[in-house]
Amino acid sequence: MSETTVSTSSELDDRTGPRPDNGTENGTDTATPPAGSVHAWWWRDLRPLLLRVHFYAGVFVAPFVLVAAFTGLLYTTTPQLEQLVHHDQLHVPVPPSGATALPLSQQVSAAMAALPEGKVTAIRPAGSPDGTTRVVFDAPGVPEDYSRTVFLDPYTAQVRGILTTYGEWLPVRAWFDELHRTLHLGAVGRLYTELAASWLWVLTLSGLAIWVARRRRARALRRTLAPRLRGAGRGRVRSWHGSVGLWAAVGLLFLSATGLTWSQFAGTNVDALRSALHWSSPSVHTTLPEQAGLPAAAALPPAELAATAERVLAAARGQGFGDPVQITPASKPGRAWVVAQTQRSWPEKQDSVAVDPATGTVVDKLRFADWPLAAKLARWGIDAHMGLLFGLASQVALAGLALGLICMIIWGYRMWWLRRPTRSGDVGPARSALAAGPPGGARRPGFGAVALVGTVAIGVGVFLPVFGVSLLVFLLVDALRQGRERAGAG
Amino acid sequence: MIPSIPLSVALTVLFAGTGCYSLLRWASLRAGAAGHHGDQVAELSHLVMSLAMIGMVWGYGGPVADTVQLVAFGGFSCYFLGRLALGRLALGRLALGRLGLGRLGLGWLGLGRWRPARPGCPAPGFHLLMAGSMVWMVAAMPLLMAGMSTGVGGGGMVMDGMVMGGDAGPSGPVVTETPGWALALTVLFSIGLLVGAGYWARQLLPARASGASSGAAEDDLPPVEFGNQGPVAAAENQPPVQLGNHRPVAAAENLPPVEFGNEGPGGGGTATATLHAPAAPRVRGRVLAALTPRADASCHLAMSLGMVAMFLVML
Repeated sequence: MSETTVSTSSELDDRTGPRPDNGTENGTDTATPPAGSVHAWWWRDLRPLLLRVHFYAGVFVAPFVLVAAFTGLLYTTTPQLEQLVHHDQLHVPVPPSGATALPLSQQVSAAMAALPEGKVTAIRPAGSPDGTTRVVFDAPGVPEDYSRTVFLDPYTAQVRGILTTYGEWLPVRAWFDELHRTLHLGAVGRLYTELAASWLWVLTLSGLAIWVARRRRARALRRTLAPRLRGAGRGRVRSWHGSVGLWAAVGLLFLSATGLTWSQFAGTNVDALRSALHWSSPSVHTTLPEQAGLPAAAALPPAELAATAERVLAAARGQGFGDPVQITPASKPGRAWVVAQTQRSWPEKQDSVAVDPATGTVVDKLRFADWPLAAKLARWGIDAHMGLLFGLASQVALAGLALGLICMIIWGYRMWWLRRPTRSGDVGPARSALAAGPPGGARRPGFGAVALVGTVAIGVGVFLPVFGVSLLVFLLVDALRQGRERAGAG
Repeated sequence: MIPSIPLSVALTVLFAGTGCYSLLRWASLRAGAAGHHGDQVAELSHLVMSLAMIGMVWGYGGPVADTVQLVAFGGFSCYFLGRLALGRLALGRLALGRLGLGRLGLGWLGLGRWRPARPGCPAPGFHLLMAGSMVWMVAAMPLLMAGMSTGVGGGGMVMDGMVMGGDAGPSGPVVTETPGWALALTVLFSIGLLVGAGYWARQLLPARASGASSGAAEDDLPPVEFGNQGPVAAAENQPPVQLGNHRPVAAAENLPPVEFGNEGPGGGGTATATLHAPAAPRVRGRVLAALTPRADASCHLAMSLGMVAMFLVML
C-alpha cells in the first residue's frame, strides 16, 4: 500500500488543482517525476530546486546573457562589415597576368619606412592575388594588446593604409570584438561576459531538465520538440521557450564552455587545468644553440631585418608552407624566427616552423596534425565560437543561436510577467510582477537535492569564481528573504 | 601556504569537515528539514570561512580574492552585528516589559514591532568574532608576515610557518617588522576565539547537553556575548532553547529515523512509506539525525581552534 500511496498521492498532487505556478498548463502538461514511480523521489526533491535556480538565475543573470547575445549577434556580421569598411586596406587591384609580387624584403622595407618609430612584431605576406601584405608594429601610443599595422600593395610596395589592429582584426571588427568581450569597460567589463558564460550552462541544463522531464498527457514527443503554434497565454510562451531552448541547448553549452576560456578568472583556471593535463596548444622550440642566430629583431638594422624575413619565409616555403602564413621575428637574441600558418577555417592550417634567422635552417617543425586531440578541440572550439571555422555557415549558425537566446530571454520575462498576481488590490503591476516568485514556489527542494547540488556548486564555484561569488550572493539574499518571511509568519 | 605538509593536511581536513557540516546544516535549513532553529546566513558564513581557510592553507589567492574575502566577511560581520543589535533590542524590550514600561511609546526605536525571529542566528556575538577574525586575518596577513625571511620564487614571503604568494602582499614599502598593534590585535582575536572554543567545549559536556534551562544562557555567557536566543525565547514563553541549539526535525528521538518526502505539499510521503523507503532517503534521515546541537558545538569548536591555529602559524 505504501509504495502505491506514495506514487499516487504525488501524481495526484501534481495533476490536480489549479496551481498556476506549478507548471500545469491547460490541463495538458504536468510536472510529475519522469518515471512516475516511487523511485522518482529524487526528482520530487530536485525539481523545485531546479525551478528556483532556473527562475532566479534567469531573472537576475539573463540581462547579462541578453547583452552578450546581442553583441555576439552583431559580431557575427563583422567579417562582411570588415571587408566593406576596410576594403582599400584589404584588397588591391589584381595586375595583368604574369605580374608577380615584389620580394618580401622590399615590402617590409617600405613598411618600415612608413612607420619608422615602430618595431616589427609580425609580417603577413599577402594570402591571395588581390590581398595586401601586412607588417605589424609595436608602436608608441598604441593601447595594450593592440598594434599598428601597415598594409602594402605586394606588387608596388605602396602603403594602402596604417591602422590600429587587434590581433588580425581591423578596427571595425576589433571594436565589435571589444564590445562583445568587455562592453568597452576594460577589465571590469570582462566580468559581465564571465558572469553570463558562467551561468549560461546552468540555465541551459536546468531548463533542459525541467523541460524534458515534464510529462505530457498527449503527443508528448511533439510537445517536447516543437512549439505550440495555437493557443494563447503562458502555456504557449513556455512552449516556445522550452522547445527553442531544447534545440539550442547544445549550442548554448558550447558557447558557455568556449566563452569561459576567454574569461578573466575562470579562464586562468581553465589555462591551468589545460596545462596540468598537457592540453595546451603546443609550439615550436625557438631556442638556438649558443653563438647561433642573430640579435633580437628590434636590434637589427632595417635592411637586415627585411632580408632575414625574406630568408625565413623561403625556408618555410621549402617545407611546403602555403599561404596564409605569419612570420614572427625573434624577440630575444639567440632565438629562432617562427613561421606559422594562420588559416582558421576548415581545414585548419596551423603548422609552424622555427627557422634560424642567420642561416635559414629549419630548427623545429610542428604539424597541426601532431597536436594533441584536446589542443585541436580547443583550437576548433575557439574558431567555431568566433564564427571562423566554417565561414558563412558558422556565422549563420551563431546568429541563429544568438537570436534564439534573445527570444528565449524575452519569452522568459514574458512568462514572469504573465505569472504576476493580477488581483493585488492597490499594488501596481510592476510591483506585482516583482512579487511573482519561482514556479512551483509552494514546494521546497529536498534536503538531499540541496546538499548534492550545493556540493557540486562549491566545486564549480571554486573553478568558476564569478559563478561562485554570484551564487553566494543569491543564496544570501534568498536566506535573508526566507528568514524575514519566517519571522513575519512567526 | 604552510610549508609543513602534515600541518597543512591536518588543517585542510579540519576545515573540510567544518565546511561539509556547514553545507549539510545549510541544506537542512534551506530544505526546511531542520525545523525553525538555525540561520542560513550563519551556515553559509561557516561554509565560506572553511573554504577561505583551506585556500589560505594552500596559498591560493591574490589581490582580487583578498578583496572578495574582505567584502564577504565584512558583510557577514555587519549581518552578525545587526543580529546582535536586534538581540539587544529584544533584551531591552524584555527588561522594559518586566519593569512595566512596555507601553512607553518606544515604537520608533523598533522595540514595539520587533519580534525575536525563531530562525534567528545562534550566538551572533561569536559569529561576529569569527567573521571579524577572518577580516583581520585576510587584511593583516602581509603585516603579520613582515620580518620573515624571503626565499620563495616569484617574490613570495616565508614566515615561520607560512608562505604567501608573491601577489598577495600590498605594493609599496616592504614592512620588515610586525607592528606591535597588529601583534596585539592578533593576540586579542586569538584569545577571543579561544574563549569561544571553551564555551563550545562546555556545550559538548553531557550535563550541558541535557540540562539546558532558560536561564542557562545568561549564566553561561563568557566575556564575549555569545548569544541571546535563550533569554529571548524565555521572554516569548518559548520552550527553553540552549545556546547554539539548532534541533533538526529528525532529531532521532521523536521522529522515525527515515523521513521520506515530507517537505511541503505534494511531497507524496506518508508515514507508511517510510517502511519501504529507498536507501538514499534512509541515508538522508540518518544524516539529518546527525545534525545535533552537540555536532553543532563540535563544528564551532573545531572552527575556533582552527582559526587560532592559523593565527599562531602566522605569528
